[in-house]
Amino acid sequence: MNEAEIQVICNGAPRTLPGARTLAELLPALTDACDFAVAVNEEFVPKSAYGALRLADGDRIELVVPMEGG
Amino acid sequence: MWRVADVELDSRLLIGSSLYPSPRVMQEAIRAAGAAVVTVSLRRQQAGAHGGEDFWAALRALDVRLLPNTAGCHSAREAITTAEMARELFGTHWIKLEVIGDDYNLQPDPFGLVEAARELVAQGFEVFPYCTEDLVVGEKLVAAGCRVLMPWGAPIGTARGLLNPYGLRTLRERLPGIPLIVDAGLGVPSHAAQALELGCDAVLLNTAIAQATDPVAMAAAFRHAVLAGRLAFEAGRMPERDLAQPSTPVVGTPFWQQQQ
Repeated sequence: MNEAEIQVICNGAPRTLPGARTLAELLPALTDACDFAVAVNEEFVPKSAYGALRLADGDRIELVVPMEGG
Repeated sequence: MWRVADVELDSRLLIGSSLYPSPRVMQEAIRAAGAAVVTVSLRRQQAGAHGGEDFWAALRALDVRLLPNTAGCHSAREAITTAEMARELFGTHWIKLEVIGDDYNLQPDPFGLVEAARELVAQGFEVFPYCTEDLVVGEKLVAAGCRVLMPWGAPIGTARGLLNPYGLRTLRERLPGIPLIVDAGLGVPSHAAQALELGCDAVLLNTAIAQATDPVAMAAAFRHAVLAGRLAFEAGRMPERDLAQPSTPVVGTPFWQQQQ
């Protein structure tokens, strides 16, 4: 693994991403959905915080989309 | 018209968006039900799966208010984070709060429910807690800031109807100012009518419509049942009694003398 890379878990699956990047910069690699919401390490991350949040090695990302429900 | 969470609704039938044969049938069933509120969830995006997008497009085409749920959460923490994501994703502060305590019957965890409700109310959410018909749990949820309760009729997806009408009547008596929406366990329209007859304000159901042979026709049947049940409640039912009492006048019965 390149030193500049980080290992994260996105929706339960391991992913290797470039390091020292913000969530806003990395999101295009993680989803193509238009409507989604994000939690990192079980904490909700509002859209307004995407640009400031730098992902770190070992982060657990949940990326959710609208789904049917009862 | 009835009022819940500062909003006037013209239907007492709330409906789920899951388990339909197709997004198109879901759309038609929601229209046939006349439902003004539809429940939704949020889930991890599945790589390559586009069913969710079709569903979402079909739902957005309808003029309905969304009620996102926290289905599948087993702790207050999970439910709170899920609610926060739902608020942003669906653009509503309404949340159907589910904290499951037991996977066998999907029974709500009353302790996790109250803890999560307190936090979410403090964050400005309108919390619709999926709870049991337990009176004290209901009172604790109201004390935590819930302005509506959603007691179960029976466990989710069982179609057994109102397992404890006494418990629901007790909730109605003790919490007269709190809208009660019976959520889960209804199987046929008569179950919905019964909930409204005993004074509950509305019902929320999903599987009974979505898994019917003809979901659109069943949605219409539930719409009528809810209307009938509410009218009956407003009309005021006659009391039950043990002894038969003829409805036809006894005085003037022909042949009466001959029987003496």
